[in-house]
Amino acid sequence: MSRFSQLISSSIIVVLAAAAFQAVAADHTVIQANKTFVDGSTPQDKLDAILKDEAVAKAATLETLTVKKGDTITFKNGDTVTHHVFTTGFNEKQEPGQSSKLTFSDSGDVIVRCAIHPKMKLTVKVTD
Amino acid sequence: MKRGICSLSLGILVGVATISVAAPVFAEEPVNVTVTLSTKGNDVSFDQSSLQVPFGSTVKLTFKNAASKKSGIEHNVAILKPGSEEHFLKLMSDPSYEMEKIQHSEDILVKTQVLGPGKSDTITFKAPAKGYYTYICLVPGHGSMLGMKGILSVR
Repeated sequence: MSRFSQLISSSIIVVLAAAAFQAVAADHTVIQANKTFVDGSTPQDKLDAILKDEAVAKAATLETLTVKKGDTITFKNGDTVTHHVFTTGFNEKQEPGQSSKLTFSDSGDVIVRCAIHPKMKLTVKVTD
Repeated sequence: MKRGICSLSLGILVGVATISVAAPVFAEEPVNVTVTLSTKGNDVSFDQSSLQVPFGSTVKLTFKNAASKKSGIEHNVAILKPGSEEHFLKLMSDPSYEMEKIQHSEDILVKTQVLGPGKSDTITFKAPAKGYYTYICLVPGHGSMLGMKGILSVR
């Protein structure tokens, strides 16, 4: 194989590896309901119960979520009140029904809170 | 015409005399001031962005959290030591903040309790030295990124 062919092959491998890495990045959803963060896969009937009852909301609270570097979390305000998602370098007000997207580019623990309701606290563990 | 000017001058002199007599009485007597402060309903803001109290007065401050029960928003008001605002805001903007640490910061002169919706609290304190003081809600996001603060001037 000529040197030129080797260079082309290497380049293709790098591009494919980069594409594969892109494909690995995943999207997650976290829902804000009854002044708490809950898992985005929570079915609607359970969400309705969370919205009606604080004890159910407390039991369903999502305190930690593990994601990979490059992943995105969509925070969806499924509540009937305004929320305001914030972490270092990011803050966004959310009226009911609105969403905010956060991409986690660095590994480590990231704390995400609601600026209006300080008891709403989620630790995102970002792994390599 | 001359008579008119004389009457006017006399009137001004009487007015000045009245003011100059009234002022020392106000300054020498102990003064009690009642101040009320509230939230703007469910908005994360105070209903007044500035307050004034006389130097040397005893201030009775009543703060009401006017947010609706449904909102679940807690509030309070604290008066900070002069020059400490920047440090305090930095502390509150860090998402890893500890509420206890903020509530018991040495930067605070006086504070009300953190109140649930519809609740109120009254505190009494001696007005500090003449100058300007930041008052702020100690719920971290409120006082920092949502700008829930104002200026108390002591004159």
